[in-house]
Amino acid sequence: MKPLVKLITAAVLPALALGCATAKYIDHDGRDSVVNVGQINTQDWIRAADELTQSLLLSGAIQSVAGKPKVLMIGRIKNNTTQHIDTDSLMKKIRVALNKGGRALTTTAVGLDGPEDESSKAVRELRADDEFNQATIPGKGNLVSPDYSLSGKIIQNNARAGRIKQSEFAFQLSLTDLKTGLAVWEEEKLIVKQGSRAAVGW
Amino acid sequence: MRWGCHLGFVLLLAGCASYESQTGSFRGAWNGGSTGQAAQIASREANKRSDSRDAVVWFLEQGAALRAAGQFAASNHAFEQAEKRIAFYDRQAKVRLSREATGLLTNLAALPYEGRGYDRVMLNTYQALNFLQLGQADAALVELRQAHAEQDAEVVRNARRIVAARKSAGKYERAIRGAKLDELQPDIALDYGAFVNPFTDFLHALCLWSLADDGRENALVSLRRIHSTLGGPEFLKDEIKLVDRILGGANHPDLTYVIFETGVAPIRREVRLDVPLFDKNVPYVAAAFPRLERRGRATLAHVAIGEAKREATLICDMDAVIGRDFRTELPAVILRTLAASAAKAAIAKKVREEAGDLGAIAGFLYQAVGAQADLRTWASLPKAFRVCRVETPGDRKLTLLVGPQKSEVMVNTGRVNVVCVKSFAPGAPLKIQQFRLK
Repeated sequence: MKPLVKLITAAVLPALALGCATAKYIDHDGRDSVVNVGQINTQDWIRAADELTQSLLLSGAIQSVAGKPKVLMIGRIKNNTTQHIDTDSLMKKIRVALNKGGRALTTTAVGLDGPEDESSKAVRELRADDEFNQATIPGKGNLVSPDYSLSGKIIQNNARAGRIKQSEFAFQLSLTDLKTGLAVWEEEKLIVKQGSRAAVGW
Repeated sequence: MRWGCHLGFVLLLAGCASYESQTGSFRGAWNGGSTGQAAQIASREANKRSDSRDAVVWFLEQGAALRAAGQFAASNHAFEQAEKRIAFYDRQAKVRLSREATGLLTNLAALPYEGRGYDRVMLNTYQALNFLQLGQADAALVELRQAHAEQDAEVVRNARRIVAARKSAGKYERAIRGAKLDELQPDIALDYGAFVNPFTDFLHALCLWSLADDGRENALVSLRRIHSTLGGPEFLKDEIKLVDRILGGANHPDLTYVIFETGVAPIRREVRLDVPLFDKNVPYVAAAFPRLERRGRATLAHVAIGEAKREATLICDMDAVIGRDFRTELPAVILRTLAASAAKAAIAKKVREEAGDLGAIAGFLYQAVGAQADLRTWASLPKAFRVCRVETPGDRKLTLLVGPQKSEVMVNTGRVNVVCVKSFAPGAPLKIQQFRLK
């Protein structure tokens, strides 16, 4: 091919590759979900949360006494991966499972960085406000102190051999009895993903 | 006759003033530190060109100028306009036949400016800073999350462009070597690799640990990433330790972060070159290419408290960010410019054969006017971002030094404060703004 024709063809050819955008609903943990080797995908959060919750429930570390659920606070969940993640994707699922099972309730009034929900504090600040019926404002000593704290770490390790890339995500959780300071349950779940590096083209 | 009409239309498309000449007065005001005047010029031009192919770049200039002039809400409005326009281009198919045809028959400057990767990241970063200045922390975090997503998308785009660049550069190595097109490559003192803008990540980290309700641990992810990208500066090592302690529940003294935006980013100049195509019909073409030109020298910045002086750490060299973008884009620019020049030469030859002398003149004009490099670039970006963290002194007084310039500031009360210092050309006054994070 002549260089001139070749040059013009190379510049215009990409125009022929016009594509149409499509969108569809899929099962969040089904086969059609996107899987990325270097990232934690939705299905990974679900799997890790399910397995950790099962382990916690089976361990018997949290037992409601006389049908009264224990109170849990969320401690620090360290993110030692290379990506920004929302650790609530993990913790919320565990909290929901414990709550539904009647084993534990989570306090939103206490947290390492301050309360998760400032409302408990805000409503108490109305004690001096005459505009509010004081009988409807919670009295002193009603907030419940937590029995346990749930803390953990998410770790990422990457390995590569030729075009094969592997990412390992370790989800580590500890349940600490706040009276004794002892970790009464600990668990680690691994998710390992492997894939070949995509050949990037134009 | 038919050829004449077509050429006339194309000449209309191609024959507009270059961005370099369009922005002359704006850059003059900006470099001299006349932010009010620069904002006026940019606003006038942005309004005039709001539906044109240059709309995005003018909205970006307007946003930056209004921000420097202290008009934060208006600045965000301009950035939103740029963002909407960029989103509009993104919604269209990646490669458009009409776009490619226009580029082929005219030049790359005749195509819409769709915002480069680093533009998009900086746009969100400045919007975040504006929202912080306006006391709207949640809105700032939204912008920083968008900037983070843009950074990630740009890392992928960059990798793709680098591979494509290698392929296309290989194909046309002979033509590129013959015309010494390698000289268009900018020198990059620092190379952040595919990583886009460490300053944006730094600001995100700062806002995450000091402002966010959740995701605070992600601050450490960002800081570790910048620490490794920048070759492990001591300041970031300290910052990681400090943030780790704070996230573990430790108390911290009142802190002030001083962000220095110094100098002006590189601009693009046109270089006209004769390129051999080794084709018997069109043996060579005259083509215009962009070349990146740095402006000014790097300036050190310091924060002084009494006699003690601390140097600000270079967090982002914008020359490097823009240079890297330019470098990865260059092979595609060369390829498309050569294709456009060859197409124009072939058309001019045909016109000359069919319409004689008149055709020869029209063909010559068509080639001369049509050969124009795309010089559009966000000119009001800084040359560098430097950051210094100090414990806020009891009297809250800081002395800020940028090169030979000196200014004093009384820091607001608060646990974590940010002071933004903007310097322009040497001799121009420093612009100082501040806000409280916590």
